[in-house]
Amino acid sequence: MSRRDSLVAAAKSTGRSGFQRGFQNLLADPMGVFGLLLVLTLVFLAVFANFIAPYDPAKIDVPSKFLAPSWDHLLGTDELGRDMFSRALYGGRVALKVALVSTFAALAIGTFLGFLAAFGPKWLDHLIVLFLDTIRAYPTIILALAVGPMFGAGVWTVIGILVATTIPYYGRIVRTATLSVMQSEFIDAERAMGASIWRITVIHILPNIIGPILILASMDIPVIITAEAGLSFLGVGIKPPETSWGLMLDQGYKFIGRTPWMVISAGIPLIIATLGFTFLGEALRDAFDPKFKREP
Amino acid sequence: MLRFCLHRIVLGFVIVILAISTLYVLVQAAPGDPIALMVGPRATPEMISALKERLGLDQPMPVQIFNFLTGVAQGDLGLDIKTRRPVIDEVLEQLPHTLVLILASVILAAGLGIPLGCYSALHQNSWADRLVGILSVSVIAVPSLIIAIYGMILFAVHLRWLPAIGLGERGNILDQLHHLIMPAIAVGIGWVGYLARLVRAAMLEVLNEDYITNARAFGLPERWITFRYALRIAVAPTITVLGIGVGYMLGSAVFAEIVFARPGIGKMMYDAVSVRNYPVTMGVVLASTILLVAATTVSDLINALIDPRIREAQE
Repeated sequence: MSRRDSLVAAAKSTGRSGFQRGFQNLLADPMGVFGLLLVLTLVFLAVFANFIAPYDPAKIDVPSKFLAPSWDHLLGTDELGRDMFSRALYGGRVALKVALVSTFAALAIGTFLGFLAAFGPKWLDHLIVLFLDTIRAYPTIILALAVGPMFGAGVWTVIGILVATTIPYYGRIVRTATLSVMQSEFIDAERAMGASIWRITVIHILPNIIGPILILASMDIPVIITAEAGLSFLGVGIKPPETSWGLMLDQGYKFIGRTPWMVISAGIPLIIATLGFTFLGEALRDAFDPKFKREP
Repeated sequence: MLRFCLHRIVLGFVIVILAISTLYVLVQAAPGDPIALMVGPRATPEMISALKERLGLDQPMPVQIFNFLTGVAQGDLGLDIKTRRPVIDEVLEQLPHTLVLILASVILAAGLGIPLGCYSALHQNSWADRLVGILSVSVIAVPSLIIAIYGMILFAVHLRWLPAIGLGERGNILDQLHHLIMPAIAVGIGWVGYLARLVRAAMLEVLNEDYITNARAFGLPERWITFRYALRIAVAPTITVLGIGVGYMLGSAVFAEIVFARPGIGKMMYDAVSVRNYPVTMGVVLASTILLVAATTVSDLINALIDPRIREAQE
């Protein structure tokens, strides 16, 4: 079954009463609970980084450089003696900020374009679909490598690139889901009673499709986090003095022959984040999407 | 069918042309002026305008785009700033290495993912099915960059089973394959999981269809039903996904090529970006965009061949 079909099915069946049931389903899924715990821990650590971090992430302490992980330095220290654990906590802030801002911006713009395509005249629909397909034609990482340096590396360039390349994902899905909800009889009834297009969109279409689309958005968060780390690793993402998991990987990779655990440590937060968000996203979809529900 | 093919191919061309034009405008509009970087900080305004005139950058934008597109159509991607060689030659030199890597990853993904998904669907809810499910989601989640780096530490630095860097000895196929293993796993392992899940879901759905029940009622052997009827339909979505997947794999290939110091367009791109060699970076983006659109188009066409419902839906 394609993602589109499942979304359409979900769009038809997620109602307000389904929310509680879905949440119960989520808590009954061990992998979902596992993902939820990882994500909650991560968010907690990132939000309270300044209270939790045992050291100043930027404090250089050359004599204690390249220390292996220990109780003093949970993830060891880097080539300047900075505490990797503290740096990872602040890197988590950047990762979550990039993920949330890009996802919501892309979701908002994509939803708008999707509605426009679904409601607008035929030529506008074709134009928007062509536009979305054109953006989709660029391989994200390679495009970012080309365009990123022109706009200057930094958080906002990363967010800009990720938003631009994620818009088609939401735009196409919202368009399809809207078109399918539009075919429902209750929409025909509303139209017959003379409801305006705004009323139909806001009162009927949006509540019907927003749940499944938020779930898809949650599944895209690990992809965005990976992309941010990747771009920072390549030197077109986050720049020092800010910290990023990708920057830490890049640093560690440079010393891979000398002290391999440095790059191993740098990879751990990224693994936890991507695993957590992926398991949670999958479980959310299973819990709320009846077509994907597990057989009894 | 012919109409569908033509429509898809024309659409592919339109998208490539639009994508290239958009990129051209974007590059010209970007705040970091490539010309200023090309001539260096000590250039006079006269030198800059002379270069702009020589490159045709003083003409109106639509004319520039048209000139650029005709250039691309004739294989003219400009000159490498450093080596003074045509960019197209360099791209064509590096592209095969990346294509081999992506092909190896696709083979890995399909060769492992489809049987695993098929097995999972036939043994639904067994412990093996659950294990495949959890492992699939895990390998989808973990970034290929991490797999490349951890794989290098474990298999090349620690265990010394696999070579760490390079393409392998020229002409020695076995050595080259040996060098291909780790990069291909880094790029492809996530797709093994993805395809396994996709095939499992598709198989389960197909096996519930009426015509499968019908075939069972006719007493056709289960093996025949599974492979001849169900798998054929269940594989169709994997082809679409692999078509789109080429784009993601191109991204992963950049990381694999850098980590394993392996020649290819990703490594070439990375090296060019760090010295601001714009013609090369543009050339790589163009080549990879064309590659990606071609892959999506071909996968759509194959899909339409396999599953008549798709071409009917489009026509």
